[in-house]
Amino acid sequence: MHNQFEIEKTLALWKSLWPQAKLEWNPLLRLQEPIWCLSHQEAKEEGLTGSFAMIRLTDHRIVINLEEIVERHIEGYALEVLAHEIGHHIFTPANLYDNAILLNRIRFGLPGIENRAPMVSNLYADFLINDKLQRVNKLSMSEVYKAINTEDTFTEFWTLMMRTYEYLWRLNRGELATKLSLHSKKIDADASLLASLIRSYSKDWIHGGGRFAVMLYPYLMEDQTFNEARKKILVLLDAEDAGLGAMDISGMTELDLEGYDEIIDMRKEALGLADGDAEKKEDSLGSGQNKLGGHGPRNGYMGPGNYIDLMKQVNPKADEQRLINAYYKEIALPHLIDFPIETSENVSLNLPEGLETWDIGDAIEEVDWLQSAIQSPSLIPGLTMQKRTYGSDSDNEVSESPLNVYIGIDCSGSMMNPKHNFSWPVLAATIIGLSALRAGASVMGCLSGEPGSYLETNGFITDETDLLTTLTSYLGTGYAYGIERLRKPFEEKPNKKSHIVIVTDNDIFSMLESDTQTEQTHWELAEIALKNAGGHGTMVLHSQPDYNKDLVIRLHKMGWNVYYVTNEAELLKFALEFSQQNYAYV
Amino acid sequence: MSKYDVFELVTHVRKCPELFFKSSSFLVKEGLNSIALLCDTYRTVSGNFLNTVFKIPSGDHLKAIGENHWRAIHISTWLLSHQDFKNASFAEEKLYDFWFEELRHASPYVKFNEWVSDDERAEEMVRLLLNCCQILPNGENPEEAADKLSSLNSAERHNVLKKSYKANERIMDIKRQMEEKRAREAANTYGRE
Amino acid sequence: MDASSKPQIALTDEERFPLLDDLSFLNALKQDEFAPKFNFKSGDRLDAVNLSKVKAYKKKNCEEKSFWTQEQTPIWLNEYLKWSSETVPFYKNKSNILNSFPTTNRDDIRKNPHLFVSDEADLYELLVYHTSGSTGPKLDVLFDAVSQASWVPQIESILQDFNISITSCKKTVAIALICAQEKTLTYASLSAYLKGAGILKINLNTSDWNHPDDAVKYLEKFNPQILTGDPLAFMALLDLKPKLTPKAMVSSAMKLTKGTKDTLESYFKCPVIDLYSLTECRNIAYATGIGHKVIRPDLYLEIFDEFDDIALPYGERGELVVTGGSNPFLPLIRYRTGDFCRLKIENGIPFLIDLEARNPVVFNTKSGIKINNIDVSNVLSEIPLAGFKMHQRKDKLIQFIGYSNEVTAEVIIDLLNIIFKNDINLDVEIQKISQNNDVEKTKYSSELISFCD
Repeated sequence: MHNQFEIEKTLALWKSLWPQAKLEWNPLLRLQEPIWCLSHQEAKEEGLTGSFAMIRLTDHRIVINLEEIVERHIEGYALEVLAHEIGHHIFTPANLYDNAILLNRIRFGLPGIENRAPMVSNLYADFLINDKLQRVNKLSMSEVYKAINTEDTFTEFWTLMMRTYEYLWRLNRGELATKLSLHSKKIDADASLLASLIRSYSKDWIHGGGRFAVMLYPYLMEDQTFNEARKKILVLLDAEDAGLGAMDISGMTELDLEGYDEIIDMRKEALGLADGDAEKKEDSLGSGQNKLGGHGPRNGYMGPGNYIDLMKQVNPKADEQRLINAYYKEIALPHLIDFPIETSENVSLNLPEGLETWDIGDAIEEVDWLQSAIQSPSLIPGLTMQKRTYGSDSDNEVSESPLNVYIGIDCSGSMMNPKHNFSWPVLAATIIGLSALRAGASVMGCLSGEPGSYLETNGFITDETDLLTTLTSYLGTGYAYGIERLRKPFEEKPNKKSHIVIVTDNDIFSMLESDTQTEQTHWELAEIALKNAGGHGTMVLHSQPDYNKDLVIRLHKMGWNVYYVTNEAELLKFALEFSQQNYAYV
Repeated sequence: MSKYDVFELVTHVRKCPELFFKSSSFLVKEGLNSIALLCDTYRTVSGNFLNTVFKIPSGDHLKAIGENHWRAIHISTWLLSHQDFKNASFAEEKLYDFWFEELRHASPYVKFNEWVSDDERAEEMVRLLLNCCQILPNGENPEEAADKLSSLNSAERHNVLKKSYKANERIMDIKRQMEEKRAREAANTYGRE
Repeated sequence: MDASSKPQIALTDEERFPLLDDLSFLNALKQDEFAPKFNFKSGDRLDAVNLSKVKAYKKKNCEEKSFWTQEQTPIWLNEYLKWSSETVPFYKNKSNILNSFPTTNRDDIRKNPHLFVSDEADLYELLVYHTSGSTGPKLDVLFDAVSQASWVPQIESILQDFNISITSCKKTVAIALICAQEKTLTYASLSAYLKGAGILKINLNTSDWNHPDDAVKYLEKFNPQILTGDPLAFMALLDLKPKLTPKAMVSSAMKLTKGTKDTLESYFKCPVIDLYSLTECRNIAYATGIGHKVIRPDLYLEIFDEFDDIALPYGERGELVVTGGSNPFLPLIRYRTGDFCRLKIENGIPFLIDLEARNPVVFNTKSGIKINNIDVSNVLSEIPLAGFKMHQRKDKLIQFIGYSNEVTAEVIIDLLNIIFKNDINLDVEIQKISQNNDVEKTKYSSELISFCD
């Protein structure tokens, strides 16, 4: 344990300066006092390791490790450090949503080395905050760096960072970038550009992230140089994991086209080359979405793998399955049927029931501005911002009970893993499944790649998460959907009638024809299942319409619909039509 | 206030009235009378208001001066109107180089308004002038002053960026090409290595 | 990213063989009834300009009679250093004096392959050879079609010493690279430099063929002029007793012991050449009675201390260091090969004396007498071992694994006992050579840390 007396003394000092630190930003700022950790052990328990301070956007807290502060001899910079941490909360990144957007834009600027984004984002935010505090508030941010930097801290990369501060604050060469042997004209030129970037984008910082990342790219390109540089400045990284624990930040699946346009190399701009290339860029954007990797409907979404990577940078503890569920759900949402409108006459709609805290991730329309303003003059999501909750009449009278739906998806070797590649079958199934749930029906989902393996929900269910978790899983075994899977739900007549949708391709005919080694053929099972289900049966075939004509006629005769899709995007059309026909009420 | 304080002079440049942003009458009708402006400046710097003979480029040279360069010169006359340069007769003979050499080198890389709107460019103009007139900025030693100027020098930075940008583009091109399938198919190998 | 770093088939035959209109022989090789299940496609990628460069390379480098002397470095060296320091990012801003250059090593290339590409190199010509890393971490070696195809004139210059020449014409297989591995890329190809002659890369592993006998039938049918491969592959081939009449066999990648060489020569009735080559700069030298004769006037060779950047004088043993080459994507300056020898110049031709792969390892007898691995190599090279691994444990026990279909463990034990003066515990195992081997090069290692003095 470090000098306990010193630590206690520092605690008293820093506590006393906390109100003043808040004043540096906003006299009306309401932010909880930092969590003061008196030892490394306590800091570790709060999740703070490697640095002396950190912020948590999820609960709007600052965590300070006073033992580390004492060890590093920066007890005297309470205002600087505290004001800096507050800056992360109210200036940049400020909230989970902007944090995610910024990270995503920075990732654009670091193609192939996206894993550097959290550090780059942290340093970018530091520049913006420190420059304001040093130049406007006249705090001694430069002294903090002087105190923390050691001979060993410096790499070419860190020299660039410190040189940039020297440019920003008109310091002499070597005041911050003390290791002169690493200085170069290249670093000077880049630092000068970075300094002007920080100045230009201080108000509009979200738009400067891409340029910032591109400037840093060459310094972080090699794994080893990056790892070394990061290790040496670990103590300064206070916002890399700012989003830890954040759940369900919506709106991130869509491609950020504006952000993409901001991936500009300032060196190129400075050389006057940018204009000449504007045309080229236009071109590449035409074919463009490819370059951006647009996926899904209108090529308007980022790929699932990229989405998971990004969201795990936002929240390193994010659960992959939960993310992938959210991904397909978010893309499915615009295509779902409307919620059934209740038509009971004597019940008033939407009874206001009370207030809840509005947080990032909640829809902006839900904010109750009046109540929020009453709560506090400054609006802080998750803290002072309020939303009203409504109760609805639970005495719903649904005039017509919708049929359940069974969704079987071919998950054989020819299908791609929906976690890595955008999957149209999974999107289609999500749309149908969620529409059915909205309409009040139950859904059974089944992935099947047979011979081999299958995965299905526990019968017909109404739990959205369970359904999505099943639909977004992956098998990659066998060659087709196994007809045998129809036995469990439909060998006997189920309690409630059900539609059957099977998404597969031509290989289903091999499956239908294959030897069951029992008396009953797959054809017979398919026929019985449909009869027992009592609803529509549709085979969605990824195939040319005239293929296997005789076998298709045989399916028709049993009562199966066969819906051809020749490209996967047509699956979306099918899902929309199916949902509208079966689950939308007028 | 001490003389030749960079911060003070930068502040002065940044207050440059927009009038000085105008082009030259050599180029447009309603432009500033550049020659008159230069002569006035010569007079205030030298402190000799009766002087009528000034070092001005010849006709052909004047014609070759571009618009951005003229505007930089006009802005610099505002800088030279600062009291630190009044009666600084030792600087008089350096002005020609400052206007027609230093600013000529820099102006391709600095848009005229940046000399005023951008702190760093304003400082560059101040330092270019001080250096040209062999004046040491207040509180700086020669090494410091030289380093700060070279850190801000637009022409120099342009050249460095050109090199580093080219080198970086080349590396990216190589990396891209290395990922190309046509490179990965390689060519016949004839023996084990 | 990893998926795309694997070799992939990406071209059309027109792109593979820009100069060859008639691909009928290629098809014959591919569609033969005994043909293996080729799993890859490859061409020489030579267009007219490239072909003329290969020919120019041959003219310039393969008829050279004197490379350099102890007193006088080769005339091209200064120009080469100047060019490198001007156009190769890794060497930029260095002077053009050789002694101002530090050594480079495999790690430098592995980490920054792109920094070794000359600014003058046309990236359209860039090819990548990806080593998966049986001899260390994976490595991308960049090269172009010209430096790759120069392999053939380099070999021709060796064959000249044996009065052998390759017949260049269609309808003959000039070179067959024989492998005996679990898995490797295989293909049939042609060489524009050899006027359309066939090139094969085949794997003896029976799973590569439709029928177990096909490998022999196929090779006998096309009877390649030159067989290349490593000693293990050649011994595997010998085991199949094929009726082949190669003009020469070129063995590389592993040390060729005298025993193996004799066995192969007596069966195939042709010279078996022990070639020393590196992925990073292709062929360097081949074994002769007085050491490895260097065949590359475009390489300048030096000997360095293993640990310090100190060049050693002629005659002293150390690590072989290479400067030069013809690859614009990987110009080498003082590149450490990881191999050890002494350097000697005979009439302007350099020889590598006592060349051993990697650093020398010193073994100990039980009572602590030091035994150099070179002594082991010298003795074992007399017997037909295709390769071996020898390791000394902390308790001084020697573990030995040899690869051979003839030699018995008893023979090895006797020989090692002589070398170790009957003062050693031995654990000797002999493994048969199959058609699909998965072994590394001959290798010495020891847990007792001690090096040559």
